[in-house]
Amino acid sequence: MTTRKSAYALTSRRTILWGMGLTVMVGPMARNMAWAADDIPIGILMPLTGAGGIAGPHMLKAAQAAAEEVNAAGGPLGRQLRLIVEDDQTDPEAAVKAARKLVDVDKVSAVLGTWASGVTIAVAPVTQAAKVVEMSTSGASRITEVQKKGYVYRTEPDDLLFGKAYAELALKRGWKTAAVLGLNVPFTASTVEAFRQRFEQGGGKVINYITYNPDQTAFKAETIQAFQNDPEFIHISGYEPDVTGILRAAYESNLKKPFVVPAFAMSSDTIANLGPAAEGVILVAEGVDEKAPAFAAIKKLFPGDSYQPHPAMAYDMVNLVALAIEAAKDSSGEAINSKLKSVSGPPGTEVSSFAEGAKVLREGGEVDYRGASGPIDFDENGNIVKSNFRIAEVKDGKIVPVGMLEDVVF
Amino acid sequence: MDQYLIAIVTFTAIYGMIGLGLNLQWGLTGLVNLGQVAFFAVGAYASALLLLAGAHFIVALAAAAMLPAALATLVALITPRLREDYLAIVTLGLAEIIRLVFLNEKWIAGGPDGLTGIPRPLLGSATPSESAWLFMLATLAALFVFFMINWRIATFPIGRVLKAIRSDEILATSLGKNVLRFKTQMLAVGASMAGIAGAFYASYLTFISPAMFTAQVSLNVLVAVLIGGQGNALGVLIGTAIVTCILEGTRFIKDYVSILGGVELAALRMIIIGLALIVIVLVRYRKASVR
Amino acid sequence: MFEIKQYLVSGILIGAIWMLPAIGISLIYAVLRIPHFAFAEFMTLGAYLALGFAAATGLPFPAIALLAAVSCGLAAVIMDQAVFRPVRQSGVLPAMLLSLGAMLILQNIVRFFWGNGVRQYRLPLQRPLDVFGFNITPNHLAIILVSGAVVFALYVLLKWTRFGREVRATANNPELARVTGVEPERVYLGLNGVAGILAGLGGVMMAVYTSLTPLVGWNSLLPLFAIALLGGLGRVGGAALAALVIGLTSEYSLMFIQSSYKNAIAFVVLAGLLILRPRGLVAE
Repeated sequence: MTTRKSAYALTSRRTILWGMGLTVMVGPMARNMAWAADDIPIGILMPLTGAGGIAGPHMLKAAQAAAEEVNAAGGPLGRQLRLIVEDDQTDPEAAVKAARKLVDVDKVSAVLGTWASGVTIAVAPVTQAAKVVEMSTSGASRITEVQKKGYVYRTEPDDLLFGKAYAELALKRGWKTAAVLGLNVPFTASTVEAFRQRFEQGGGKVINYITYNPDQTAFKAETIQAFQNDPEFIHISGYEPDVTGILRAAYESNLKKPFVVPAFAMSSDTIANLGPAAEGVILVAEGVDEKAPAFAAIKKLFPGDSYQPHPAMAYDMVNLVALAIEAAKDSSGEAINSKLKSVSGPPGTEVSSFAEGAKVLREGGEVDYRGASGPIDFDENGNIVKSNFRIAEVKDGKIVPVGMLEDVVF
Repeated sequence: MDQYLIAIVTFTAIYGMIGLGLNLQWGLTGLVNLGQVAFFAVGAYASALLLLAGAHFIVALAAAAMLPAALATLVALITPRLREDYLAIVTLGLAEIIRLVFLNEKWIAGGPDGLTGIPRPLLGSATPSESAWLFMLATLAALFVFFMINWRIATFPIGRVLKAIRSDEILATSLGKNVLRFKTQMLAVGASMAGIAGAFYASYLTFISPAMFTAQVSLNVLVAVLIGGQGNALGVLIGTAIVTCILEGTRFIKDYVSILGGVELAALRMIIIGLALIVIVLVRYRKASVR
Repeated sequence: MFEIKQYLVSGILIGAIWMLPAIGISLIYAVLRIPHFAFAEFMTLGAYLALGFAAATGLPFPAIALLAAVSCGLAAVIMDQAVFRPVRQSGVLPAMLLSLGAMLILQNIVRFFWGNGVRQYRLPLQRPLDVFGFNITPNHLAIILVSGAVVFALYVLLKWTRFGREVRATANNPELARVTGVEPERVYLGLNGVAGILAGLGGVMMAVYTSLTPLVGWNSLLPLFAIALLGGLGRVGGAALAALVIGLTSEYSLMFIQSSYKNAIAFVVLAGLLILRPRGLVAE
């Protein structure tokens, strides 16, 4: 059936195929030769490209800084941490392939930094099966289901906490009616539902709930809908691009109301670009513990815009893993998993760095790591049990903190 | 290392199945389907939902085959005489709409959250590495079946009919063959293949969400079929392997080429695929226009 | 009542923006007889080139928009001659495939140089004017007026210039046109240039109205083709009217369905057209 011509074509295709197959296999082998035999491989799986591409590179920077500090202090069990970095492309399928590579080829004991909920969920079966720890900054509540099988930890407050925080804020300000604009991504539904519950419990009512899609760029119509029936404030549950679009649309239609948005949706760049349209917007940020000693490192890495929850979490992840290895006296995924909860929370001496913690652990004590992103105490599922939220307002183009919501719990 | 290769082989086999489906539609019948991912998605969701509801895997597999076929038949009915350009536009649009529906209609399939915990039929009690092996073997078996179907159709009399349809519709019609019926059937069968591939995909990853079913998938499969030489089933498999290598292999390049960041590399990957598409089309079709 | 008035404005606005690239696609479809997907990505290219020019020079924005549009026209011509001309005689399929490849490459060139994030032009935010009781910002009003002017110019171009006559002749009957002295390649070249300019301009306008993302073109793909087919391939006035229809329908649909399905409207129109007018929308 194949003619001579296509047989030839097949052969040259086959050559290309072999060449590429070889590259796939030689690549990691070549790299492995550069390391010391007892280095501990730790996987970094972050969104360097894709929708999460704004967050990934910063998180990576923070993680690398943490690893350098840990290694400079001698490293856990006297061994050096080696970070192996992969891009999850904010895509579950690509993430699974990358996770497989980290787990099988690089033999990491932990995979840190998955950001998108879909990615975290897709990667979990891979890491759980291999008894490798996964640490994530995803907020979606449904991840708790997956966490019940173990080995998955989240440093981000669950959406339910976030939703509650928005409601607490609104009730504190005496608002009774709300409109919600929600981006159609996983975290929105659970956050808005938690918000609605707490808000209605406090006597409030959500009078408009409008959802819109990712990649949408025109928001005029949706914004107008949100303003219908005169709500006292509008909560936007979305990311930077859409939040920006909505604020602009409101300004350009002469519509003005207090907006409450997640702080991760507004950077200082956005605020600068929006100018007067950003004035008065209220930002709610998951805990970054600016008073914690560990936060100093984040300040150094991001001068000028140091309120970076996810990079702070990435920093903490590396430290926690190092401490867990030290505490368990073993670098396997199982070992890390067995000690992560204990080094993260009470009881124990409060420590803010690997150096401090290693000293205490080697003397036989226990530690309670207090991180740049907060106290980080994991519950039995691997979630943080309580979180602080910082409230800030945009005044004259600057982010001005105006208060804290402390100890929001489930 | 072996688990990683098993994973790569399984993914490639699944994409190979989608490609063989497209080969049936386009390579053998000349139907320009730019929305193969729509059928892939429908099959994946159908199987996942049924398995999660406790259905037997045969039922799930049947649904994964039937529903996309029904959708394909609908497309054939809408598109007047399945004319090339109309079909291209309609299928492209359809894929987008399907994705939007899955994204927005939570009650169908969880919306942006997707579906988790999708079971792998018959493998529930296996250890993870056994499960990976057996699943790969099952996928390869299905791939083989599709391969045989493609090969048979190409070599049997029906293949000649299709070839005739592809090169000269009017002539074929005048010979009394019901062209439209053939085309519709081929579109449906090709869609079924993509649907079954979707069922394997959903169970392999145990998690699916609308974000995984973008137009890029249709394009990747298209390039794979093009590289392989339309109509050539073995070529489709080789093409799929090559595209997989391009997409996976660049992961290892960044260790050596540090000037390019992740974003640039990702864009470059796509540009390479686009260039491959253009080069192959020019090479193949330029000869036809030389006068 | 406020909403109804606002949807009218946003509907006309989005229609005015889509009009230009849609006319380009419509003309190319009528004359070259292929659905040229890549022209949606020329919108993207145009928008980002404007961003680049704005950063590199200090020219006023209208000049930059023009520069970007003309660059797209040029790029389209080069692309056509290098990639599409060799397969001119090979039918619809190869050209469609090439168009897909071009689409992929254009979008990713933008991603390569400008990344994946969302950007804005450095234009000051504006308060809306009151025009006969409707709210609209000066920039948006300018978009509508410019679009209208360009459409009018195109209409004149096609009806009264020699080039226009050649385009119409080639669209109707290429063989006959050739016999009467029209050089098809010249027509194709000119048309690609015009379509490129239209797409580039449309892209800049879209980015002014919304934002710059690598998906600017892709998101408009379905509406553009729906408009081209609804308006009758090759008909400038038809496409302009169709653009308004689809723009208004998309915006007003918000009163009944979720915002997420806006693009679905275009698809439904498309499907409906094909079912109801199976003889084809251009003379075969």
